[in-house]
Amino acid sequence: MKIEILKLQKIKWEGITDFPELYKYMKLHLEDIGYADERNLETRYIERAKPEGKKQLEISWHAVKKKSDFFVFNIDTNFLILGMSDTELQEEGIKRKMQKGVFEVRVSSYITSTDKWDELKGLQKMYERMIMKKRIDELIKELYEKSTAYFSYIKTFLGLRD
Amino acid sequence: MSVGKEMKIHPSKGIVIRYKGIIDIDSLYKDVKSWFKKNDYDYFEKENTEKNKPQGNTLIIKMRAERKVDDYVRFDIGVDFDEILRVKKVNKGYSGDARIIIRAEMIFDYYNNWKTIPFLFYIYNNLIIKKKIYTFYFPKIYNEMMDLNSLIKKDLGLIR
Repeated sequence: MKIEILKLQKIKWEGITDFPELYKYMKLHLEDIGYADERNLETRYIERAKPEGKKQLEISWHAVKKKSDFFVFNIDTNFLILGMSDTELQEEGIKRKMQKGVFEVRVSSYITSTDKWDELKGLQKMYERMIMKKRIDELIKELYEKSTAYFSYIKTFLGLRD
Repeated sequence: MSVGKEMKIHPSKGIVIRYKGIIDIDSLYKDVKSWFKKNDYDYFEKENTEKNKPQGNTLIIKMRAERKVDDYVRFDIGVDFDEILRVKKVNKGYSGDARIIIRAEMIFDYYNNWKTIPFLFYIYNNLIIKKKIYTFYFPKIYNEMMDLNSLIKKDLGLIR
């Protein structure tokens, strides 16, 4: 069973940002809310060198949190960074190395059932479904709040409206 | 006309508002978001894009909201700041060219309980609750869509 909450919601910023900082803060945010640790978050990291010293990055994260014996929360993050190059910016008299490019982040969140739930049969499953209906609604609400807060966090970092 | 899985309330291309001039995007954005909250909608953003360009930024914001009216009917409303071009900061907000599109629709059986028995789903929609759909749900979502339309036009200073 899979219940989708956010479906590939997109944030796109074309301009200058501190990308390593964004990457670090997003990771910390997921760690703070208990969805990830250093070892089990990143599922893909591709960096391609492009002409004129520019880079293209494709990064995927899969963050999970077990909620009960039956359900798991999932938050997927996909980065696509096009034409990224380093640039220097003067901020309050201090030179800062930033990155210029097209930064796209997509966030999806969903609830999946565990094998334990899938193995339930017939009447037992029907009984659990009836009992769990309210609980599932609560879980949907909880993941909706967590994932929209994460989405807002990214927007705020990039200086987008929230 | 038979009632299917969803029913669109908006005109085929949505309600389109075009505007060129001074726009307080921040307050418009906040007002639409607050409207959704006030009307018990679950709000999320499908897209939030900003492109930094010399001639002024380009914005695309796709706002989506859902409200479960009961166990069978859900209202979905979308507001697309489809493309706000040449956004430049001026004294009172921003100047720019905006195209805003409002869409609303009703989704029936959003839990997909009738998925395996489409014939009964058809009977239920077209015989049992058809009257309720047209006399209760439809006016409700239509009024909400028009209320949102008024709010956006008011924020842009357009004639309502």
